[in-house]
Amino acid sequence: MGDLVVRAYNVGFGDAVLVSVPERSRGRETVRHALFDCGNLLAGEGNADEVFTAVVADISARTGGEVDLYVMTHEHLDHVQGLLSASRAGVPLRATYAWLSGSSSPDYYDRHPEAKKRRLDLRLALEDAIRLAEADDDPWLALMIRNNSTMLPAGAHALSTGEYVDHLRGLTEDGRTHYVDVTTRLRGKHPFKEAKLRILAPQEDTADYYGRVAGGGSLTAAAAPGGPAPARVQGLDRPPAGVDPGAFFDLVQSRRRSTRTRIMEIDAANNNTSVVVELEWRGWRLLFPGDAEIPSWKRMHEQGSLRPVHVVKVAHHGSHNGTFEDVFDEVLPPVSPDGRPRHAVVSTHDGSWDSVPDPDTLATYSSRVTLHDTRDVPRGTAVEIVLPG
Amino acid sequence: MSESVAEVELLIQDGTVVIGDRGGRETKKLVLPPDRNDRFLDGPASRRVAVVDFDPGTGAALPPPAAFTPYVRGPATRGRFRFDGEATSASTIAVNAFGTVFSTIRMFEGPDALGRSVTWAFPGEQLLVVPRAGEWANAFYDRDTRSLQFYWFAGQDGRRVYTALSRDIVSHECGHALLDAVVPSLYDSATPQAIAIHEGVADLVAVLMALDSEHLRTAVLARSDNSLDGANAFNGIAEEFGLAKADAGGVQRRALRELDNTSTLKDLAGARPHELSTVLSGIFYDSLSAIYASRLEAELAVVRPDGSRPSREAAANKALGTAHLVGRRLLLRGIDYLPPGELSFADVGRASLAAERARRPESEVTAVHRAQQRDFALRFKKRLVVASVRALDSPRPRELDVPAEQVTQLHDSDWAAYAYVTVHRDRLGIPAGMPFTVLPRVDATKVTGSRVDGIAPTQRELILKVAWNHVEKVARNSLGVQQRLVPTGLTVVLRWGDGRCLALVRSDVTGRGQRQSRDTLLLRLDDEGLLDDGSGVRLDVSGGVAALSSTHRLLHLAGWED
Repeated sequence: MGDLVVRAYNVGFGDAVLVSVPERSRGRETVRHALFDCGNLLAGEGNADEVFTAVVADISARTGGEVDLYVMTHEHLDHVQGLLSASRAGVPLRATYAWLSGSSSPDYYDRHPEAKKRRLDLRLALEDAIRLAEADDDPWLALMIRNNSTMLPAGAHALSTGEYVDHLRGLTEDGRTHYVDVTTRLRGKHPFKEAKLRILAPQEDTADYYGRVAGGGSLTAAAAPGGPAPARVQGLDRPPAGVDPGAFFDLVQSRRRSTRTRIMEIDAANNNTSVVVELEWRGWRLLFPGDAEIPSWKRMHEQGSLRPVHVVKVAHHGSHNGTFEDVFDEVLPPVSPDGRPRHAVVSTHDGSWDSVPDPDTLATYSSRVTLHDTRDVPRGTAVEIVLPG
Repeated sequence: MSESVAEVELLIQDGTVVIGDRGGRETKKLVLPPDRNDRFLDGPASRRVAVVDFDPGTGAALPPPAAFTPYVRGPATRGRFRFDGEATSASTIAVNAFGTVFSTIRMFEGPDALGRSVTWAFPGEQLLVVPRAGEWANAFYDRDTRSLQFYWFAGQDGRRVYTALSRDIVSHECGHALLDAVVPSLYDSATPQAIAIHEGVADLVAVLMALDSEHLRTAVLARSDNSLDGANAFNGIAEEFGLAKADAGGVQRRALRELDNTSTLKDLAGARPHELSTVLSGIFYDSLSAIYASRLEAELAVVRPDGSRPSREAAANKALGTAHLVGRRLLLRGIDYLPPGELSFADVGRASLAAERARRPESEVTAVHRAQQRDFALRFKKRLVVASVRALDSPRPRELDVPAEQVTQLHDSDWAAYAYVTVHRDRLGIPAGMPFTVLPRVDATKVTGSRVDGIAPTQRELILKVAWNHVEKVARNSLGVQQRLVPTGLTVVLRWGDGRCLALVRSDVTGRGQRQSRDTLLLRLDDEGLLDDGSGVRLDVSGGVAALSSTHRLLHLAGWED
C-alpha cells in the first residue's frame, strides 16, 4: 500500500505544498495530488523567478502536468504567482479541480455589502500607503503593497497580483473552479474518493476579519478625478527652524508607524480569508491553514471545528500571529491521542521580517511534534513527510 | 524685553458661518508674554506652539507654509503672518490653526482663568499643530506625538472640509491638550464618565473661545433677539463639521454636538463618552445661560448718571461678556482644583464650586453669588449626577492653614510638602498606611473681581495635590484580572498671602456604581478587542493587579468617535 507524502517546497518566502494521496478504488490504487498555493514574495522583477520553473516542473513530473486539486488559500502574492510565472517560462500546470478563497469570487463583494464596505476602506488605506511610499523610500512598505495588490483595480499602479489570481481561475475546465468557504458543500467539488475533506474557514462573510483599520483616516488624498496630478514635492528630512527636533522626529516616525500598522492590518485581513482545509486519510488527519491568523483561529474554535491532527502546516510562515496559543492544544494536544507520530511543516525564510519566523512559535511546535522546515533544503527542493498507509 | 506681537486673520467660527462684511474673519493680535525668551517664527511657530505641515498628496513634511513678516516700520518683534486671501490655502489653514491654538492657550492660562502657565503632559515645551494631517472626519490631541492633528474630509457636497479652519474644533482639541496638562491622570481613565470629562471640558473650552469673539457675540445676539436659549453658534459645537457629516445613524444635524439639551445621567446610561459628555457640558452651558439672563436684567436696570439707560443690544453684549468671564472662572479654575486620579462629573462640580468659593472671603459673598452657586449645584441634581447638592460640598478646614511664611517653602521644597501632608494625612482622608505622592505644587495668581480704577484685584494661590492608588477587586472577566489599581487623590489650596486654606477637594472612587462602571468598560474594551489590536489603549497587569491606560484614545477610534 502506498504512503501519503507531503512535500513542502522551498520557494523562498511563500508556500507551495503538494500532498500526494494514494486512494484505493475498485481494487486499484491511484495517487491523487492536491497542491496548496505556489508563490514567493521575494520574486524578482516582474515576479519572474526561476524557482517556480523548477518547482512547478517537479510537480508537473509527479502529477502528469495536472494536479487533481489546486487550493489557492488567499490572494497574497506569496501564495499565488507561481503557476502563471512558470507557465510564462514554458512550464504549465493544470488542475482538475480548483478551490479559490470565497472572497476572491468576482461577484463576492456584490453579495456581501458589509465586507465590501470594509474592503473599500482597506483599499483606500492601501492607496494611501502607495502615495506615501512614493515620497518615502521604504522597501518594507513597497513589499507589503505588492503582496496585497489584488485589492486594487486591475493594472492600478502597475501592480499585478490580480493577473495571477485570474490565471488560477482558469486552471480547470468544465466549471470545476469553486470559490469556497466554511458553508460550501464539497460533494462533487473535489476528486478524492477515500480521503475526506473538510473546510474549516473562512467564514462566508469575511467582514468580521477586518480590523479597526476600517473607518480610519489616511495621511494623504488622491488627486481629484480629472484634476492635475499632485506636484512632486521634496519632503523635509529635518525640522523647520523653531520646531522642537525631538517632537518633529517623533511625529514623523509616528506617521510612518501608523502607515505600517495599517498595512499590517490589511495584510492580516487578507490572511484571515485563508481557506483552511482538513484532510483525513486512513486514520491520519492533516491541517492546511494557509496564513490564517488569530481571528480566524478564534472563529474555528468557537464553531467547534478544530480537532487533533497528525500533520499541520504552520500558518503564516511561522509568524507569532498564525498560531493561537489558546487553541493550540485542540490541534496538537500535549500527547498524540492515538499514539501516532505527529509532524508540523513550516515554509519560511530568514531575513525578510523581524517576526517571521518567530523562534518561540516554532519552539512551541517542536516541543510537541517533529518540525520540518523548508529552510533546511536547497531552494527549489522540498522537505517531505511520509505517512504510511 | 518688549512684547512680541503677531497680527493674524482668523475665521470667527468656520467656513459656513459668514458674519459681517469680511466673510467671517477677524484680525487678532497674538502677544507673547514679555518675560519669556520667545519669538514668532515662520511656520507659524513660537516656543510653545509650532505648525508642522504635510503634503496632502504624498504625506511628506513641508517647509513652513506661512512666513512671519516684521512690520516695515517699528521693532522687529512686531509683525504679521500673511493671509494670502485663499480660503483653503496651506498658509490660511496653518495660520488659522496656529492663531486659534495660541489664543486658546492664552485664554486658558490668563489671569481670568488659571492665572498661570501650564506644563504640558508630554516632555518638552512645544505643542505641535498639524493643520493638514490627512483625510478623515476627525481631529485629535495625541500626547505621544505632542501634537494636535487636524484632518480634512469630503462633505456631502464633495467639498473639502478642513477641520483646522473650525474655531470650535481647533479650540476643542487644544482644550484636550490643556486639560491633559492640568489633570494628566484623566488620560488613563477607567470609566466612561471620566473619559467624558475630557470631552465635556474640551467642548466648553470651544464655547468660551466662541464667546471670546466680540464679533461673534454681537452677531449671535442680533440673530437670536438677545437670547441664549435654543440653538445658536455658541452651543452648537463644530457647525460646519456637523452640517457636512451626518451622525452615526445617518441623520443630518446642525452641529457636531449640541449643548442645548436636557439629558440626565440616567437618560444616557450606557452611552459612549462623546454623548455622555453633553450632560456635563449642558450643565455648564445652562449655568452660563442663566447667569447671562440674570446679568441682562441687571444691565437693563442700570440708570446712567445722565439718566439714560443702555440700549438692549449694549446691555446684552455687556451681560454676555460678564457671563463669559464668570463661566470661564467657574470651569477652568474648577479643573485646576480637580484632584488627581479617577474622576466623575460630581467631582468637576465640587471642584468648580470650591474654586468659586475660594475666590473671595465669606464676608464679601453676596446673595447673588450664593444664588448662582446654588443654581449651579442644583443643575447637577436635576441631571441626576448627584442625589443631593450636599454631595458637592467641600470643606475648608482651618487646621490646614499654615503660617504665611511657610507657603513659599511648601511650594519650593518637596520635603516640606511631604511633611505637611504627613502631619495632616488623617484630616486629609489618606487611608492609613497608604503610600502617597505629593505632586509638584502650583503657583497661580488670579483676578478675583471687577477692575477698580483700572486695576483688577488678584489672589495668589498655592495648589497642592496628593495622589495615591486604591486597589479593588474586579468582576469576573476573561482577562484573568482579579484586582485593579484606581488612582485617586485630593487637592489643598492655600492663599499665598496669609496661608489660609481656601479649599480641600477630595474625590471618592470607592462607590459601588463607579466600580461597576469600571468593570463594564473593561469588559466592553475586551469584547471589542481594543486591548490587543494596536488601538493604543492598554491594560497593564503586574502581580495580578491591572491598570488601564491611554483610554483617552477611545475618543478618536472608529466607532467611538461620535
